[in-house]
Amino acid sequence: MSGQWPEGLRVISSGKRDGSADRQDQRFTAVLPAKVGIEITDATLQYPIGPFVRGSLKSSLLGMFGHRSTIRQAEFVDAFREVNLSVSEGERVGIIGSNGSGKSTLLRAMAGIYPLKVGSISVVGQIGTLLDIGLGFEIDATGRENIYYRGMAMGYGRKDIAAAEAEIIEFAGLGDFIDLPMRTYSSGMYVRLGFAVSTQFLPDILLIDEVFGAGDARFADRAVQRMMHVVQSAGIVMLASHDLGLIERICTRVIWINSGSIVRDGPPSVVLPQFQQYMIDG
Amino acid sequence: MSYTNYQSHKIPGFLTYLNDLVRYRHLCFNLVASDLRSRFRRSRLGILWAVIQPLAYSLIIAWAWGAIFKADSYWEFAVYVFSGMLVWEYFSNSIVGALEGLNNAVGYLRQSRVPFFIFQVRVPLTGLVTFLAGCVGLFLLMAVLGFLPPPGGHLLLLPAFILVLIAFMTPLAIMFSVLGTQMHDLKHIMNLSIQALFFLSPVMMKREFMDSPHLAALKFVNPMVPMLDMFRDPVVYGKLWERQDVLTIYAWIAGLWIAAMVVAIRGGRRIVFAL
Repeated sequence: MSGQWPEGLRVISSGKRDGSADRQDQRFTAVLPAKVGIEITDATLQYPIGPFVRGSLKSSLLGMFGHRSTIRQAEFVDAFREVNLSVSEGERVGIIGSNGSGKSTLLRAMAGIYPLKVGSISVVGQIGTLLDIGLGFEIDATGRENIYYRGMAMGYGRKDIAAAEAEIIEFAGLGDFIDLPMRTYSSGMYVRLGFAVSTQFLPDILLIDEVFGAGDARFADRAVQRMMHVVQSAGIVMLASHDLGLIERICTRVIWINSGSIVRDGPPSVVLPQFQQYMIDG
Repeated sequence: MSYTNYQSHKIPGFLTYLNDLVRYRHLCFNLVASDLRSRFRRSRLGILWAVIQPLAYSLIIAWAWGAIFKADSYWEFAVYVFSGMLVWEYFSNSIVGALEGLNNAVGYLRQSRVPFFIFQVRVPLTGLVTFLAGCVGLFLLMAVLGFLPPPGGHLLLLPAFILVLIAFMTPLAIMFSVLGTQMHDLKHIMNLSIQALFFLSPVMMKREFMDSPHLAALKFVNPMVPMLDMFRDPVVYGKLWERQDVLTIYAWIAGLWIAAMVVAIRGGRRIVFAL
């Protein structure tokens, strides 16, 4: 992507593989695309699989009496390592790979939710996420109130949300439930409201993790139509999914991740057959 | 290990963080309002409970302890305990709430890059509203009893005290919210510690005891001693703050902010992995 970023904008990577910082060596000047873009450079993310710090007071006390094996140390795995990726405006990128390969973690790193161990991620554009749409509600608040909380958590102002409120309520189709506390909702109603809010606003960059439909059969059809509209409107779409047919239909480019590394990057017509063969071969 | 979004972050470093706080301020205030609504929802007396609860507690304590310590006036002692309970409840509820502050926000924090601070100040800000409602009750009680001190410059110290209270409680909430994600024993430890601190603070214990040679060090070691003084002096006694109280609490605030910054910077965004 070097040579495409605007003059004078220096994107700084502040880490090396060994963890040392060497800003001067890592600097590069690049030209950002006119509106949106993602640049990932030498990115490694370590995810703790043990306790974040030592577990409990009990284990610490046991450790004082020689039971050192009972103390579980924090352990990390490389969720992905040394990833380099450039995504330009207009691209629809599918991310495929088996379970635990690092697809969702990569999306969360792009959204700035998970911090990198080393490397850098630079983004131009407002990010919208469809990650866990059924989570992040205040259960004692009404559905209507939660529309505002969810919208504000996405970075939108009260006026923007107020303007979209009626449309969100209509799409979610919750009827009178919209003014009841969300603890009275079924799990399907949670997802419908979450989906309606999350897809109401059109971001520059859309990060989707396996969410392409929601709710019962009647709602699911509308949800897929709405998703297609959102996908067409976004500057960049990153879609992590196991649904290869969906990826083939939507994406212009496919990244295959295996054990935290990008093993293939190319058009769907090339990468998808290779991945299918790999899955058949085991 | 950097993350930069040039759309929302056109300014560098710490200013980026402040920019995010301004951007998400509405979320913070709305969550505080939501907490208040859910706390008093379906309650006939609503926020009046913020007055009734400490008042009833104070009347009972004043009756029991007043007899033990042979207080000169039941009502004077009741006002003393009531004023102490308001500050104490704010302090203890904020600490206990802060321990779960980030854990309860996992639904937000794992979906988008919302600043942790929004959820760290949520608990103390919610408590502040309850505290202010309690203050109104205290003033009403004092007015009814004829205990209101004559108006004067000391009343200006009440808004100043609220700022001091926020400046004191915010770094504590930051620290305990981070530690609460990592140390699951902390909840039990803090429950015990808060109970112990209660009996070492002049909430219902008469303030004069703190001046005894055996307990003199508590005035510096226990920040709730100067904090309670700084609330009662202008509100209950119509006095200005004492220099020693002010210097002690400012030193505590400075120390707490340094500690909170260290904890927050060391944890960074890695805290999200612990949620």
